[in-house]
Parts: sequence; C-alpha cells; structure tokens
Amino acid sequence: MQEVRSMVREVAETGTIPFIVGGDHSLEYPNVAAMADVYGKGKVGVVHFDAHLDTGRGRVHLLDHGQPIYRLMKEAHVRPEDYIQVGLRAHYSKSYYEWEKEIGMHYHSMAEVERRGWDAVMERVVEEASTNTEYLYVSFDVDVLDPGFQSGTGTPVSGGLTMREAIPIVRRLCAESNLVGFDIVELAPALDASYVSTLNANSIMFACLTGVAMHKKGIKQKGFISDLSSEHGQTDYYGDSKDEK
Amino acid sequence: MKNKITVSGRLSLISSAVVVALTLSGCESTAKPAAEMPEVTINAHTELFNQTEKAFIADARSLAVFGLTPDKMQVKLAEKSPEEAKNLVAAMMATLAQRSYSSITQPTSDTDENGIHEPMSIMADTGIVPLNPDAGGYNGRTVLQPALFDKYKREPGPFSLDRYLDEKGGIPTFADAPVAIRRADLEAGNVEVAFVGVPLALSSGWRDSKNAPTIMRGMYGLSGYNVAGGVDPSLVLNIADYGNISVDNMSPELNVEHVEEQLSDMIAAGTIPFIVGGDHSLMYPSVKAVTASYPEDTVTVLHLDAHYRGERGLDHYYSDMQSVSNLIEQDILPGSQLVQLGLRGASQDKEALVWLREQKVKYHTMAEVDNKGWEPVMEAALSELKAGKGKTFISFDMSVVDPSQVSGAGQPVAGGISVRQAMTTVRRACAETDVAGFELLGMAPYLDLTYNSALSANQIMHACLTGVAMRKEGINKTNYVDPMALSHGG
Repeated sequence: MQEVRSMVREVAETGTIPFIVGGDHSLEYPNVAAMADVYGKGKVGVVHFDAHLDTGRGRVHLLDHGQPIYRLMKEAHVRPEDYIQVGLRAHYSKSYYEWEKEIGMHYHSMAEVERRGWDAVMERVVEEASTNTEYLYVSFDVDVLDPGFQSGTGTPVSGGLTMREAIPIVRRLCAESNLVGFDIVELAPALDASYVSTLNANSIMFACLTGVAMHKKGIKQKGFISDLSSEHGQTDYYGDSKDEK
Repeated sequence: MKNKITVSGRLSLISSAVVVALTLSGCESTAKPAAEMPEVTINAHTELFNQTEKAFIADARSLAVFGLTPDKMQVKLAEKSPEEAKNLVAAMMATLAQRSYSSITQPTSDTDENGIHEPMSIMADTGIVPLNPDAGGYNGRTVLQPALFDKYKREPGPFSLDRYLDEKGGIPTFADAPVAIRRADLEAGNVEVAFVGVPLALSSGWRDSKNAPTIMRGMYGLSGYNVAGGVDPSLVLNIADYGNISVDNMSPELNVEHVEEQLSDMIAAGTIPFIVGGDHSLMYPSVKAVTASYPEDTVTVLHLDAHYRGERGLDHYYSDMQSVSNLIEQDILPGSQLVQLGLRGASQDKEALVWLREQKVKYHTMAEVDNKGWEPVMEAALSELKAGKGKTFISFDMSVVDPSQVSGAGQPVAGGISVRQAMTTVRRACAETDVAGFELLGMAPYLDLTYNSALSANQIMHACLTGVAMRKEGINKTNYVDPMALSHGG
C-alpha cells in the first residue's frame, strides 16, 4: 500500500494523470490518498463506480477490497460530500446506506436508475462531479457492469450497467471535469473464457482517455457529441440541423 | 594442443570472441579437431576487488537476481574499465542489500508535518503486519457454537438431510453423506471417514480454491460402487460431511492453529479426515495434526503434486510454496518419510532437487516417469510409502494432473499424469497402507468452465475412499483388482 501510494504520488507530482490498472479495490485507498498528497486534502472529488458500497470498517484486517472508503474518509483525504458512488446494488444492509447518508456522501444506486432512468442519473452525477472540487478522480470497479458484460470479476452482482450506459458517463466525466487520476479494478480475466471482459475493461479506459483528450482540446461542454460522427447531415431529419442550407 | 589467449580490453575481447565464433561455426577450418578449440581467459579486473566483492561476483544465487551467472559476470566486468567494473559491483551489491530486511526505519518525508498522514508507513520494515485488535469479532471466526444454543435439541450423531428414502439431488453434501457439525457427532456416530472443507484461497497461483468445497459438494462422483475395488464405500464405511473449517483468506498465519486444532479433533474422534482444500499451505497444519495425533507411529506422506513446496527464505512464514520446508525444518516430518510424485515445472530447479536430496526426500519427477515409464515409478513410490510401516497420509494437489484433464487447478503445469493414473495410485495407497488422512488441494473450480475438474477431483477422492473401504473389508493385497472387473469370465 505504501509503495503504491508513493508511486502514484510520484506520477501525479510530475503533472501526469495516472491510469492505474488493478488489482483489486483496496488500491483505491493508496491511489486517492496519493491524489490528496499532491492536490491537497479535501481538494479532490471522487466518482466511484461499483456494485458495492466498499465502506466496510472495524474488521480484523486494516484494509481490504471492501474497506478503502472508510479509510479515505477517516483520514480525511476526501470530503464525504465530494464522494459520489454510482451503480450500487449489492446486498448491503440499511445501516451502510444510513452511515453514508449521515456523513453526507452522495450515492446513486441502481434503484435510483430504476426510478429516474439512466440519463437523469448520469446528468446528476456529472453535475455533482464538478460542483465542489476543482479536481476529479474516477475509480471504476468493473463489477458495476452487469455480469452479462463482465463475467471476469471476483464479486459479480446481477442488474448492473450496460456498456452503452457506462461508456458515455465515463467519457463525459473525463471530458467535462478536471480529471487528475483514474483507476480500473477487479478485472479477473481468467474467470471469463472469452475476450469480452478484457475488451470491455479496455473500452471503459478508452472512454476516459477520449474524455481527457477532449478536455485538452477545450471540448468541455455538457454531453458533447461530434456532429460529424453522429449524423450524416445530408438531410435535416431531426429538424435541428445547424448546417446552413 | 591448446591456444591460451589472454585479453584485457573490450576490443581484444571482441576479436577473441570473433575467433571463437569462427572456430565454432567451422569457418576458420572445417577440418580442425575439437581439441584445437582455443581456451579464452579474460581479465575481469578481479585483482581490484576485496574479499566480500570477490565472494559476491562468484555467488551464483546473488547474481541470478540480475539474470547473471559468475561466468557472465566475468565477461561483463572484462568489458568495463577498472573503475567502471568497481562501480558496477558496488552498485549491484548496494541494490541487492536493499532487498533485505532493515530494522532501521528510514526517515521519510511522508509525515504529518509535511501534510502527509500515512498510518501504514510503520509497516515498511517492522516484520509485522498490523491487525486491528479493536475489531469486535477479532476471534469470532473460530468461536464454536455450543450445543446449548441449539434451537431444537438433538442427540449427538450425524444427521441426514434427506427427505426421501431414495433421495436424488437433495441438499448437497460430500458423498451424499449425513452431516456432523461437532466432534460429539463424529464420536456418537462412530464416523470412520469425514469430509471437511477448508475454503482457503491464498495460493501463489490463481486463487479460487475457496470455491472447491461448495462446487464439489454439488458435483457427483464421490459416492457409489467402485468397479476396480469391487466395493461401495458408502455401504462399507460410516461417512459424514463435517462442514467447513473457518479460514481467514487474508492471512495464512492466522489459519494454521485453528485448522490443526479442528483436524486433531477429528482424528481424536476416531475419524479419518478427508480434507477438501483450499490451497497447499494446508499441508502444513494437516500433516502436523496427523503426526501429533500419532506420536507412537511412523507417519509417511505420499505427496502427489507438480510442486515440491520446499521453498525457503521467503518473506512470509507460511504459504503454499513452503509447506514441505516448514514440516521438515521444524522436525514435524523427517524428509525420509516424504515421498513426492509428479514433480515438474520451473520451480523444481536444481537447487530444489539438491535440497530434497539433502533432506532425503524420495522424489519422483515426471522426467523419471518419461524415462522409466509410469508403472515402475508408481510402484516405487507406493513401496516407499509402505516401507514406513506406520500411518500414512496422502497429500494430493490437483496440479499433479495434466491441465488438459484438469484445467481447474490453481497452479497448472503442462506434462502431468492422467486422472486414471491418479485414481489408481490413490486407490492403491489407501487400500495397501494404513491411511490416517487424505487431502485434495489446489482445486480451482471456476477456472474450468466445464464440470470436468470437479468431477475428476471427486472421483480421485472416491478412489481413496474405496481404498479405505477395501482395507476395512480385508482387501489390502498389493495391486488388488476385483476379478469381476478384470474379465467377463466367458
């Protein structure tokens, strides 16, 4: 853990955005702590994609893949109001949600997606991601995806995000916020006999990489999609063409 | 006659290398006899080095860390100026020294004063992994539930989970056996063989062995008639499913004591434990429990595995790669009482084999099998197992079987034995010797998308169960096979 934190800090200190390929989710603790080391405590917001809350605490082992958040909060690397979770659905008891609510974390469960629809939840998350903080860190646990898209993970939970939901939100977060770090964790390729889990994990990283490139080019407006690649533009079928005819 | 060439600079080294290359390729003279090959002596500046440095550049083990051998090191030094050579050796030695434990805590800039709070920085060089003693359930994992708390009182003894007289596909248990959850259940039921799961997944390979007990309970192959042995062990023996032993899947050290305790309890109840792992770190507490339970008997272990498990000097005290070295070095099992069969793969290197020989371990590699044929090697291993005359223990790692037949092994290595060879060896070992326990380890069911590995694992265990039943029936002759199975008799 110490070594990971030092290495990630070293990368971030040079102004580089680390893309950390895990490994399991205990890594989020040294990763985010390193962000706080470089950009300041409470200065970095986190969007955390996961089926699980990962707020385990009071266990015999001081850190594992179910406890990174408690440790981050306890050591005040991130403020609870700047910690945004997406895709929760594992069978955590009510008290875990109550704890998050009490300390002021922002969680978005699949129940919220069911009630409000994905587009509304995505808009809310993207907005929250740049509300309080100047810097954003994205931690992507591949088990946020539905096992249909991601069987290659250690603790799969049914009823997750599709790739077509995950790609746009990741691209938008990385384009519309000031991303300083990204991790993708919990990929267990040997558990998927096909190439699908590995391909999908790479596609998620590519979505963020695209976002970072867009951000660098100054493309930061909400929900930007290239006109050229999204429509042929030969007719004004949708009645909203900006092309001069 | 020999040409002795002594060179001291890089250029002359290269030119001599060219001479050597030309000689080897035969370009210089195709007719030249081998005896005419020039012997090259190079100047590795050895006169510059002190005793410690000289020892370092001759130490194969240290140089291996850098991918070098003493010979390659000599060449490397000869390429350098004397000053460069001296600096290189100093840098290598300094780098190597950093690999070792240092009790002096290095001053770090990661301090609260510098705005960096790192509560785990103390872990760097303490030799201790801290745990949280404030955790409410610190010992909760190993606290047994007293019979007093049973909601519905019952007499001790194994209890059936079957609703129907002829139940098929009910609640899965090992060998469809009744369940025992306390030592008193084993004692009251005179249980002769009890299966116990130990879902430990700390393997140095792929970690999935925690799923093995559950998957194997749900798979058939562990009950019914055995054609070769001519018995149905479920009818001959009192068998029970003793549930699972609780483990901490983040620390091998924390499991040793409890696993040993639970297994010793089973043996004390008069039961032969059939342990379903779990990774091969379990071999340490299991053999320890057996030898401690039979202090008067010689215990001989037959260890079927691709791996020798005898690594020394690792930074953790217990792991799946150290079970054998721990057992031997702690005088729990003399090396001469260990028979290994199926060794292969890169970790079984010369150093490993030399160590095994020094410990007097009777090892049989797959190279020996290729050379001598399977039958003689199996016979040799079985007769060595029998020679101990006392109790025996079988430690079976799924990696001994070829990955084409068992892909669900945590540490697969190509070129293994077949499931048929495994079943015969195990059946014979369990019929022809006085087995005190059997373990099947290194089974990683989710790595096999088919049912194959789980089925094979169950049938290998069934082969030992058959052997135990045969022995109870008085069938313990060498290489006995039921005559009914050998010929239709026409």
